[in-house]
Amino acid sequence: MDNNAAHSLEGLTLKTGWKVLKKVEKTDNQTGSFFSVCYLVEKDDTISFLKAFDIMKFNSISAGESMVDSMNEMTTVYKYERDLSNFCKSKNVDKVSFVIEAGEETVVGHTFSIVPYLIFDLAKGDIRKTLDFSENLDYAWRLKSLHDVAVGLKQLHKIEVSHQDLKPSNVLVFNTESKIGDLGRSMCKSMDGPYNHAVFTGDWTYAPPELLYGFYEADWNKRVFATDCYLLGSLIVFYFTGINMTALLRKHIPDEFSWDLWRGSFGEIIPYLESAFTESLIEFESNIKKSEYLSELKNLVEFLCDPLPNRRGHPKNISSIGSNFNLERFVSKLDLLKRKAELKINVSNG
Amino acid sequence: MANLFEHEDRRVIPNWRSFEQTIFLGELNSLGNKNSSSVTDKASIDEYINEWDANKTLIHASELISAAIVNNKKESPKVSEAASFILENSKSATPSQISVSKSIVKSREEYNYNEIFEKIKIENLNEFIEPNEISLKINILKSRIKKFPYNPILYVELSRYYSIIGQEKQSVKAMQIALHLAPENRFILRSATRLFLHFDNEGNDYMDFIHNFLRKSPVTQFDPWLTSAEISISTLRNRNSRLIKKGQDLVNSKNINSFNLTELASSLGTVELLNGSNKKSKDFFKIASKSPNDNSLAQLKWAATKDKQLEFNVNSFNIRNSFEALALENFGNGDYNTSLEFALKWFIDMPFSKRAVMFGSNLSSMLLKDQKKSIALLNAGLVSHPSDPQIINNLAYAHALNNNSAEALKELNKVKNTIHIEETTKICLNATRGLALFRAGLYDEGRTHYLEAIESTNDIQDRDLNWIAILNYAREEILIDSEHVEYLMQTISKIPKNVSSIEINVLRKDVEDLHASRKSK
Repeated sequence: MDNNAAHSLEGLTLKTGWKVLKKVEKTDNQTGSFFSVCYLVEKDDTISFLKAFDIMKFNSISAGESMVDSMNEMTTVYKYERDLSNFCKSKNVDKVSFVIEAGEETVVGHTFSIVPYLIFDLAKGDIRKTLDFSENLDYAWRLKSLHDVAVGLKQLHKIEVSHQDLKPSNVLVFNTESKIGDLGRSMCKSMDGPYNHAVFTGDWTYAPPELLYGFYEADWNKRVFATDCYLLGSLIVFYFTGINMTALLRKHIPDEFSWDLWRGSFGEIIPYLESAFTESLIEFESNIKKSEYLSELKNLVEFLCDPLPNRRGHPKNISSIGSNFNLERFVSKLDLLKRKAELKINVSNG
Repeated sequence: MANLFEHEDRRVIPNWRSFEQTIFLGELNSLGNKNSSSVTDKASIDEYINEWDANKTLIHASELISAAIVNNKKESPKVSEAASFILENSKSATPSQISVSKSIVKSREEYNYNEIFEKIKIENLNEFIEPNEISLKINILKSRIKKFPYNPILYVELSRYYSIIGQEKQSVKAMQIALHLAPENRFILRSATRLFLHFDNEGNDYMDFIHNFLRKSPVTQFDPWLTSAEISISTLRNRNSRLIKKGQDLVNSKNINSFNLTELASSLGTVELLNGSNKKSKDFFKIASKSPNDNSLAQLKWAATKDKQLEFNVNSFNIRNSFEALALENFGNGDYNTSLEFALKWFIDMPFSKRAVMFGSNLSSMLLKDQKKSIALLNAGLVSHPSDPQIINNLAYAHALNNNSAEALKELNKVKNTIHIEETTKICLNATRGLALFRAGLYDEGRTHYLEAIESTNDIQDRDLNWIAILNYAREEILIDSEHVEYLMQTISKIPKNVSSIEINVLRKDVEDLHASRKSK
């Protein structure tokens, strides 16, 4: 630790004027801080969130890699997240948590004294702090948050950015608004990024089934946007069940057909996967306590999470010209559901 | 007289069970022995464990168990701890958080089918194929299909339930949809093969249809479970399969494990056996016996009746659902009560299968002389074969032997003239009518029917049937002490002793004993 400058920022005032208040323990994920050390920082009476890149962590997970390579990789990741954030900001994307400042600090007395960092708006936390699965949980809040996320994802898709790592810890809550966090694993068609050639850059716990079975759509657009569609559907499932769609699917897939054991082709597994998907949807429905939302929520999940990437997306998109994975119809549906739920709250309050 | 169970012909036609049970039996496993890695092998759930340790909330627990289930890392004590935490706080948890936690805390429970089979008795047979229960299951499936119209497995399950209650048209329609949705899937193709052969008759072209479908499917030549089905249909149709060579190559392949090859090897063994090539047949059956399933085991048992060199003890294998083979094994050993127990399980395992019904009812009626058991099994068989003339005949035969001639005649009158009836069955129906009339006291009419039936057996030159008809007729004449008895006994004395059919030997002994006891009085 002594040798690690990323852990030694507390109490310093950075060259950019930010005063580092305290280190934040990983009680929740904030902006995907696996390779980083997080701090609260303050400037002009605004408290924000700093993510300091941790070269030691990078090196520790890149077994066998030289320190120079690790530094190069870390620098690439840092620059990519910073530049992608700026790119999105310039394209009027507003439902994504952006880097508000980027810099690097030299902390003397350490073997690796340079600490690159990114500063973000401070969120209340990720949605895991807010989601409560008891009976009291407000459907209006959930639907509004999901609508915000869908809007954010649609905005990213419009500028050909695929998030790839949409999961509960990457949905940040700011007062009444939810925003997508952590663009670090995203892919952008017009920017050369560290992950652009990977088939999947997100968390395998949330991955769509075709990727877990080793089936990769060759077409970049189809592959990455189909993945994002699935992740959005899976997030809806999480908001109402506390479990993501991939885990639900796995629960309903007999062990013989699991991605760990299956040695056949993806084509052979499809009917069995569809059967598990049917069971998962039925289970999803059993978690929806308010029957007035049941059918529409089930449809959203069914369209977004179809285990066949070619069939994923809204049926009206699939049967018409344009991208199957256009999220517009899902955004509209979530907006409608959100309004319906808000109306009910207003009526009951009134 | 009863239609006998036909020991002669058996082919390796795929067995058809529920999707869940078929998975359990391992018949849908992927091919191959290779141990390639999965993307989740190297995945770590440490970050989720750390977050769980730092927070100890329901949501972090459920994220950890999700990560564990997806990445196949359920063994960690932290994962069990998180699952237990959710179960302890189930009041605040969602149904899915609870169900996933349970799936982690409890190891996979042994499928309870064996438990179900243990409960089967002749007295409660109907409970397992209660038409109202099946109709209920059909309704549930139909409502699921309404919501999930592209799930082919649901249509196969629906087709199976329709076939169990004998609704051919609906059953075929559902299976055709399944084939349309997933034309290259092993479960669907094998289920369809069984269904279309089950309903095949002179009035349709189901066998042609499914044979062509299988032959055209690209997977049939690579998947031994399907290659086997194609070869078996070809032999049923007395044709040479185009896939014999492919099948032999698959059997010799080093990349496919023995269980996945067992049906194919037994199909190829059957072809060789029928062609008289016992050496080759033996080699294939040896491969089939390395890791058999219930179907290949039953085929081996059948083959052993044709080639004594293949004789083996079924009990030396511990194969799930090998009820048919065990029924045949115990039958061969003369343990008819145990054989009947397995026949009942065989029937419930595949309630649309007529072979189990015919086997069990023959056994009860002719060997155990327990007509009530035979009647119960035949009535259960009528659920899936409501107009089957063979089942109706055997039911009438059992009623008549039970001295219930009115019921016997009532059953015989149910036989529809509109359907195609095989000549042997027509003869049996005629003889059974003779029996029922004898038992009703209408001896002359009964005699007329018996004599007509005996004559017909000569016309078609069916020696076994001729002997059975004579033996049955003689029994009735002995029972009324008629003037024809001595002549009939002289005829019976010309029947060779210890013929291959156990039923004929037993019937002959019964008649001779009856004659002797009457004479001594």
